[in-house]
Amino acid sequence: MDAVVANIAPQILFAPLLGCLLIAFVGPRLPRSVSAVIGCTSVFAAFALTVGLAAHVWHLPVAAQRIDLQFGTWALVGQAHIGFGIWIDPLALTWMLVITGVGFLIHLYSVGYMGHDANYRTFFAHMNLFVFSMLLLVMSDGFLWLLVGWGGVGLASYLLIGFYYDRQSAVLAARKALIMNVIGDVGIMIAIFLMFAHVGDQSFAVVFARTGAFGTSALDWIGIWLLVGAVAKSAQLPLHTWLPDAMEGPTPVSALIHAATMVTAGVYLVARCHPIYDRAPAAAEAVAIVGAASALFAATIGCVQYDIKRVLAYSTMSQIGYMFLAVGIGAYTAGAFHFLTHAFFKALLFMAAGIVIHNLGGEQDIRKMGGLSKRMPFAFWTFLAGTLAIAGVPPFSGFFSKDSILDQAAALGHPWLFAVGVAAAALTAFYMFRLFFSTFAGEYRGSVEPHVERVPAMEIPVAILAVLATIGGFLVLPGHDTFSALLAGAFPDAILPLSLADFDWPLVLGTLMIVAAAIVTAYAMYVISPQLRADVSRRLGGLRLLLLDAYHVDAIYHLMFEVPAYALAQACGVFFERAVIAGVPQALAAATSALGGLSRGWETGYLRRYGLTIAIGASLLLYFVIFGLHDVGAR
Amino acid sequence: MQLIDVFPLVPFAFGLLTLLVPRGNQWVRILPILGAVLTLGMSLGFAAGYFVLGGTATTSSIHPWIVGPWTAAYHVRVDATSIWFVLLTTFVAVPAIWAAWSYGDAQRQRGFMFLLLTFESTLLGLFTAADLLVFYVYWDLMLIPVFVLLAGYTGSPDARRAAWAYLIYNGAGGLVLLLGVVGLVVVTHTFEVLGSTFAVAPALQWWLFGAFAIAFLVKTPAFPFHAWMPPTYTHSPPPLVAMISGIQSKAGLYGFIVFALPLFPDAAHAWAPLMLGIALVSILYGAFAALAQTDMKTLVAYTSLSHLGLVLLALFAFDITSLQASVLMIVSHGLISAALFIMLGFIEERVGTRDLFAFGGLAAKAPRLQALMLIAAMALLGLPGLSGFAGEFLILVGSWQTQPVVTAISLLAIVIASVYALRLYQAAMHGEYRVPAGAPAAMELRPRELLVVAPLLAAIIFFGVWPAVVTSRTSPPIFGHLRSYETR
Repeated sequence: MDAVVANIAPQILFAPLLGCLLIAFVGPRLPRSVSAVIGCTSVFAAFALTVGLAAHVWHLPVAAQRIDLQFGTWALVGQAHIGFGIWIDPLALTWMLVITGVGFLIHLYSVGYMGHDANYRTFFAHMNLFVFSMLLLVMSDGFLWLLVGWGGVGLASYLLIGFYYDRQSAVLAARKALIMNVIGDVGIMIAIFLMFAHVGDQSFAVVFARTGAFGTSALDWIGIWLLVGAVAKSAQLPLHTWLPDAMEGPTPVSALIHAATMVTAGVYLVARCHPIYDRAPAAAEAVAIVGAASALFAATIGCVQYDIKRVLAYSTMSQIGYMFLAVGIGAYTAGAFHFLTHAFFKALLFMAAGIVIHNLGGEQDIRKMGGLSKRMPFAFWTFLAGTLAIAGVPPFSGFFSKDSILDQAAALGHPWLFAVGVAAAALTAFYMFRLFFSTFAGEYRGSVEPHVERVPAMEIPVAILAVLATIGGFLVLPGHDTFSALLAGAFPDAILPLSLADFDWPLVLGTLMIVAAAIVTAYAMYVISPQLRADVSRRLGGLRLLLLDAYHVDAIYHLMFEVPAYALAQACGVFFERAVIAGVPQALAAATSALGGLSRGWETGYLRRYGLTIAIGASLLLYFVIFGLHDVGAR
Repeated sequence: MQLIDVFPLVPFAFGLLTLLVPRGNQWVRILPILGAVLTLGMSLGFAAGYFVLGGTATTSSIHPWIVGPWTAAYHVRVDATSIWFVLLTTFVAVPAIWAAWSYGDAQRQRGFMFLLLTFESTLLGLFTAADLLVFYVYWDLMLIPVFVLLAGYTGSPDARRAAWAYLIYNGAGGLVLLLGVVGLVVVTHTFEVLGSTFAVAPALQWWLFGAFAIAFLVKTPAFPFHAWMPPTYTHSPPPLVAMISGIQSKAGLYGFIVFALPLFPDAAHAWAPLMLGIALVSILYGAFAALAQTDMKTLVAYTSLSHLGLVLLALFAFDITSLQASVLMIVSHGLISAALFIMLGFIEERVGTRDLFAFGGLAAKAPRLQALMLIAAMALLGLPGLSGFAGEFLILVGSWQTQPVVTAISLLAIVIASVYALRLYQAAMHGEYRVPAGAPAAMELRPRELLVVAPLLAAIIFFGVWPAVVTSRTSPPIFGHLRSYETR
């Protein structure tokens, strides 16, 4: 056991939890600013410790970079032992750095953004709970505690989506998110049951070491059920409908949970389970196809939405689709790299959008924006950096990570996935610049002049992220593939180097041409010629309405699942309960008392009736005694 | 004479003392809670003693009772299985009786407390009984305090109807159990049936198991024997329903684990397909039925049907993991349902209604109540990290190995659970603040109410984070007498 890791890792995990408990129990007795200080400090402490831990681990030899710490027993049942342990390797560290690092920046941003909110303390308590749960998810050494973290981030996400709980839309959005996530939890549970069925254990160490004991078919099933969990958490097809609604939460929540960290948990899960997916070709292919389909699907919807946060939500779904594509084809480093750059540029986009929304008094409709470049130059420049990064314009970070994925898709022999990826890239460039131009270019279309407030707590984190989104890609430069080297310890047998030197330049240039064309189109439609935009809208007609309603998936699910479920509920809980469960005993009781009523008729109190009855009975008795019962039976 | 001999009667003795206190005196409230706490302390002592010393005279005592062709003894004990039922009883009784401070008018509070304590005594008697006759006596005795509390202390016609439904159903179940007990003793000539093996002919076993099972299924209850449950749970005062749902509903499951399964192993296997069917229908039917309810208490009542159906699944999956986890699930369900019913009582007391659509948005006025309800609701929906999940998950891990199809279908209930748990929580807490006219302005939990519920919720978290406390102690040796599990 590595003493440094054994000392530091638990502190990283528990610092945010301690912060959460302090805010919840001590916070109400202290000034409200103290809660923010506790929240930010605890997450920053976790970040600083993570940096120290990462420096330590990355100085170890590659073969020693995977450290499994055992702490105790969660449950001892039958022959099975389920422990609690921490698993540190470069993959976990990558996620931990982003969770605590970007998490800290977003905490800091929240100090300004949420400054006027009445439930300021609650907000920080929930955010800390989230950071703790997310760390638990990526630090666990087995599927059970991963699932506990998985549930914890689901809870935090639920609480923060429904943060404005007096708003019915927020309450419904929160419920939807949690229910969809429970479906995913069940998927992971089934995968765990299958692991127990085959190797009687759920720890990474045992399950991954004994993948040979499963057989391909079982591994494929496990991979598929894990994918169900991943898809629910990462808002991929077909369990994606909660993510756009999740934008009901405050903007820092959207940035942290629904863009940078939690929604990438599915990518983490697949990458973590690479020993399974490497031997489960069908499941891996399913991951890649789900990813590519989600990337394209979400990108098409993003092209017509008017809510600035919804566009970003669909872009998140689309970008995570790229990550799924990458980990599905075995390009784990490329997937993890895109996770890293995406965390930078998507958190940046949300937070820059948050500044715009904040200054416009909560307005999120881009039709009521425009011309904000001069009014909010800071938001303008930072949002531009994020837009260039997500569109994949060199030398911004998104270019390196997205093109790594596309390049590997082509190199590993997946021409269709590559083609879908390029199409989604073109659409991404189009809808992001549509969003950018609609917000910042042209004339201001709102009715109230924006009240611009410059809050350092908000601008500093955004500036830092803008820098990272710009230069984050330089971890991969020709001849200096730092990122793959960092992750080598996590994928000893499955590392695929990322290096510009290996890029297939004709493909990269081709993609860049298409992206450039998409940007020019957006410029033409949203800056130069409103007429062109109107023409295109008219031409699209029904398709545009279809996209505006996100392919009617919500309505379809409502009819397919909600309506039958509630009908069945009524059938069981109201109809069957009354008619049968309560009804049959009542009918029995009624029959009993009716029978009593009948027999009561015999007791008339008239002596002559009794006499007659006795006479009839006696005659019958006499008859049987004389002629015997046998004759009666024989006849 | 050992302490364990009189232990089950301690709450009853405090109940009698309470009756002696002058009406309206503060000791009417203090004595019962004192008795409940003392009983809890004793049960903790027994637990410590048992796990340190094993089964000795301190945790097991036997006195001859009936001598003759049929023998019976006053035989009481705690062991690694029954101790969890005893601890659950004493642990849940404290908040239930404490919560009872605010129910029942002052005039009749003595009787109310006396009956609650008597109820606790009958439950403790049941869970400590090692003799079938003692078990049977307590099985029927417990009907009396519940019936009187329901019929006499709420005053509504609905409650009186519920009381009769409770009495008739459970009385009928008791009669069927009596048939089974007599049928068994005809063969064994003794009520001292635990720990011994008797050669009961398979055909007779089949009938006897059936008689035991019907009584146990009525008490739990399981589908389709649950007609008495929704009215009883809905119309009982909160302390009573916390004890019925939290503790009494475990009596039948306890009967399966301790009596029916070890006594009739062959019949248990013969009945298993039907019992698994009942379990599965209870799990799903209960979940969907809960979804349709608009009365808060009725909703939680049906969730019991679903969750205890899962325990039945665990018992008849014949897997050691499931069996150990079933005890955990029983403890967990007791804690969760007691906490929920007590809190629903607090809410009903404030808003004056149980109708989920008649009020809402309490979070705005009562952040503490909201926080506690949140924990309970999350435990109800099986959030990983809380005790409900630990029980469910470990049961399903085991039952998947022997009954994958039944287990897979039952997973649907987990998804439905998230819907009904959120429906309950959100309807009460979220949305715009609105309460019926005449409701008081103060909605927040008072300090006493907070302290009443907090231990239950703390235990829910504790057993969720560290279920090994239960599962590693209900370890295979104590189920050694369950031949059913070895012959799979």
